[in-house]
Amino acid sequence: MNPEVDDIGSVLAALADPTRRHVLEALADEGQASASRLASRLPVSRQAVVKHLHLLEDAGLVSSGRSGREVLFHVETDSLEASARWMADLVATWDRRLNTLKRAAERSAATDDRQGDM
Amino acid sequence: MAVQDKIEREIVINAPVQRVWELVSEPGWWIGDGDRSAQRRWKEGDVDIIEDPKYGRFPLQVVAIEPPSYVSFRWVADGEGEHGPVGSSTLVEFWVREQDGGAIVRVVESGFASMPNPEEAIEGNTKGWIFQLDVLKTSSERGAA
Repeated sequence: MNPEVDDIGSVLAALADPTRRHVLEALADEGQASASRLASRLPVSRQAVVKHLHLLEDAGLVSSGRSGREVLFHVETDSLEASARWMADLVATWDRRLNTLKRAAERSAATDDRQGDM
Repeated sequence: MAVQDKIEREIVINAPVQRVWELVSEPGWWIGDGDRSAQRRWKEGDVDIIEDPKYGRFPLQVVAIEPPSYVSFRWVADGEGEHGPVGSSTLVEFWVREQDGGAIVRVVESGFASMPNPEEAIEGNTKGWIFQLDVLKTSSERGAA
């Protein structure tokens, strides 16, 4: 129904893991950093950080670039914002559906009351 | 702004619980834009199919039902893979409770994170997290400056 949906799914799946959220937070805090630098801040091995960074990169949440001998990562906030907007839209959709339900239930309740009076 | 793996909303309805329950427990009542007159619905085994002329085909399965207070549905993939908001397996749950002669309906839609890459999502605790984007954005911009 929405071309963005798959992208948002991968963002949410990438964020579903608490360690990955910590990696992302640490990276956001650093601005840009190497996997080793992030591993030194987290109770996770460098190898694990690298794995998480690659998953985050696949989801479009992180980008990387070479700087000399190092690979430096940074956060891509655009795809997080797109996901947050999508969630907000879905909340609005449920509000609309619930209001439709309310109108239908209250309309039929009123009809029942009138029939009850007769 | 927050990114999370579930949506939770509530509404107060001035109608008896029994009446509200009849509407809420009907599979796929929320599909479409309010006008359901042109929809077709039928059953295939224990799967309810709702076909909306505008939005397409939605196969749904009742996961659990406890009249008149709780019912949950799950999208069922039927090979097309294009049903429902994110892929095909979000869980939609409804609770109905009595209050002052009326009813309160609560809806929770969850499981967005487990869709595209299930083996990854199962690794972590996929239930009930919220990722605060504001904090991240602020620190990320500070870091970049």
